[in-house]
Amino acid sequence: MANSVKVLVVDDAAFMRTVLKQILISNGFSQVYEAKDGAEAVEQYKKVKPDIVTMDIVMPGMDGIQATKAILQIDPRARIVMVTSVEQKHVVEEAIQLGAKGYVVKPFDASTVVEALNKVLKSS
Amino acid sequence: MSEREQLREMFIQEAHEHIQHLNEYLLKLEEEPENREYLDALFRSAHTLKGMAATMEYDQIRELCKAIEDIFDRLRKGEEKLSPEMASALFKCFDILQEMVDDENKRIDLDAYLKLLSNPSEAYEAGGADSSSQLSTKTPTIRVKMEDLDTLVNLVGELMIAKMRLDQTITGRASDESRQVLMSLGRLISDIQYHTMRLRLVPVEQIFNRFPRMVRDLARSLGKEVRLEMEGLDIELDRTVLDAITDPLLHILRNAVDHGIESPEERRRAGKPSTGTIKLVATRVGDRVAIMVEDDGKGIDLEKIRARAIERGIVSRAEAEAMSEEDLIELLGTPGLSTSENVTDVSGRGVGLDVVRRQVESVGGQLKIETKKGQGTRMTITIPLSLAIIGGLVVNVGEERYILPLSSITTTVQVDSREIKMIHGKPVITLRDQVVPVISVADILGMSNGRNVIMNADGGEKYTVVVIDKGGKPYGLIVDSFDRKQEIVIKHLDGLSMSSSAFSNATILPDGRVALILDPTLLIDMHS
Repeated sequence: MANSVKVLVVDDAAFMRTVLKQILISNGFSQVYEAKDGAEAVEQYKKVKPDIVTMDIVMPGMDGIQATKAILQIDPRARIVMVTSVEQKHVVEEAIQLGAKGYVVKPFDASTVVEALNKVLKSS
Repeated sequence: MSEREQLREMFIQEAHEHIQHLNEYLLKLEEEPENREYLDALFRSAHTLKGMAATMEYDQIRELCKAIEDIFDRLRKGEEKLSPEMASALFKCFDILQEMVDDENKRIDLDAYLKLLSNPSEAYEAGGADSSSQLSTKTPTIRVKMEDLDTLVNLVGELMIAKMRLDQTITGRASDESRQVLMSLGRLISDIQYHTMRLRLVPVEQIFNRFPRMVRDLARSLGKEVRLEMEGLDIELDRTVLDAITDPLLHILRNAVDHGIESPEERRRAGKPSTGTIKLVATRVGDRVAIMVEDDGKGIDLEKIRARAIERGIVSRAEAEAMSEEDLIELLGTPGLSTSENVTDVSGRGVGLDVVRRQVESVGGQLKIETKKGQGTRMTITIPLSLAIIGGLVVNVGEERYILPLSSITTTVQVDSREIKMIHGKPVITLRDQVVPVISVADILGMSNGRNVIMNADGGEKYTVVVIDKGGKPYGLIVDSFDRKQEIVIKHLDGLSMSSSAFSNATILPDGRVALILDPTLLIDMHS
């Protein structure tokens, strides 16, 4: 199960980062990095060069949409999966148009997250 | 801990922060309803909390947060304006969220809350103005049981006593080297003591945080406009001390809103801004902390107090007429003297100022009241930073040795019996132009072999007087002699039946003997 995929988890809530991290680690993603807002996500992206990013949308300062834009500008091939709640469909659409590769809806279970990530990883 | 328990811990901690944010920013938003930054912060906290609750499968929290989030979204888009009723409804929801976060099994009548949010003006009136349930606040820290900290403090106390005994045993026979070792040991122990004490300190913010809500809700229910300004939130106090002054502070604040600040019309008539201001300021003064509550309200009507005191038979007419402003203020602490014209539910809820004073004094603090008619009232609580180790003066009375807390001592003087005068049949001395009543400790404690006040106009008799401060007034305690100042490790006297109530606690002196700690306030109360 162990793989060398680097995942960057972006969320302003430490709780949500931990939940995602636990899901990822118990599903073989051993290299998980964290960022607590958009600006930190961009920083981390440059530094860590993750294979895939999970991106929360509502965050203080630079939000998930702005961060997605910024990361895609640095690396147009970046794989970004939006993590969102149901009523933000229009925002997710915007992100997909920008170049995000997929999305996961909160609340999520482990298999949804892992499937979404694997799908994006395989397709590009 | 299971994975879920770990997650729940995290959830609780972060949820608390968000609810705290919601409360803080909504208060700010009420002042500046258009502020985009506040609106965004409020929206984000509601949104994040909703997501977290969904993950924990707390459906009721999720749904309530969703409704709250929607409101902030509409406010943000300018589709709606924040009414005072809406703010109140939101505050109520924050309170219930807090309860649901703390107790995962709590189930609420969700529809009632959703209805409240969708139609706050009706529901608010129907629900009454009682939204004063208090918010408990927690900051992200590691949790340690108070019990463990107490044990640690006790052990450090034992260590200090053992060190003092060692000092005494080897005095005069120690080599230079062992004396040096002992000195560095002493320094280490003081360091440990200092840091152990620090562990128990918490910022006053932890209790101050709930005050803006309380003041706001109360002001609203009384139809008043009040702004609460807080300063010195980072000032730290021992947890026990802080707990002990929470109630007195709440009472003082309630008083300020209820009796201090006037109604908007009344204020306008008096040429004041319609919004009253209450300042709550904490400052550190040496090893003590001063907490001041100051309002710009109407002040205490001292003439009314004078009249009331006569009416209630607390003092005679002649006595009352001779009373100075300070004396009248002192009377405020007397049981059974309420000055409010009409009894509101607020005053009925709390305790009187006499209880406030007693509560403050029971933890070694002092309450000072200043008031100016038409301009406002200032109440200052001064309390020791910590209760576990205090500075004390060892005094000798008869065969006994007692400790007087340094915090209450103003000065010590030697007086000749000639200088003791009688006023109203009570012995007094004059100290820096001030008349100071003197009391013999031996007398109060019913000891026959101690020093009593003997009137002797010829003089020649010397008395040692320790002058203490009680509620801003000096009193002189006559003792046989005093030794020296030293650090006193307080041992609680729980369950010990005391023949006298003038002792709050005990300590162990360096020679291993137990000495009782005299509570000067209680001592004087026993006397009068």
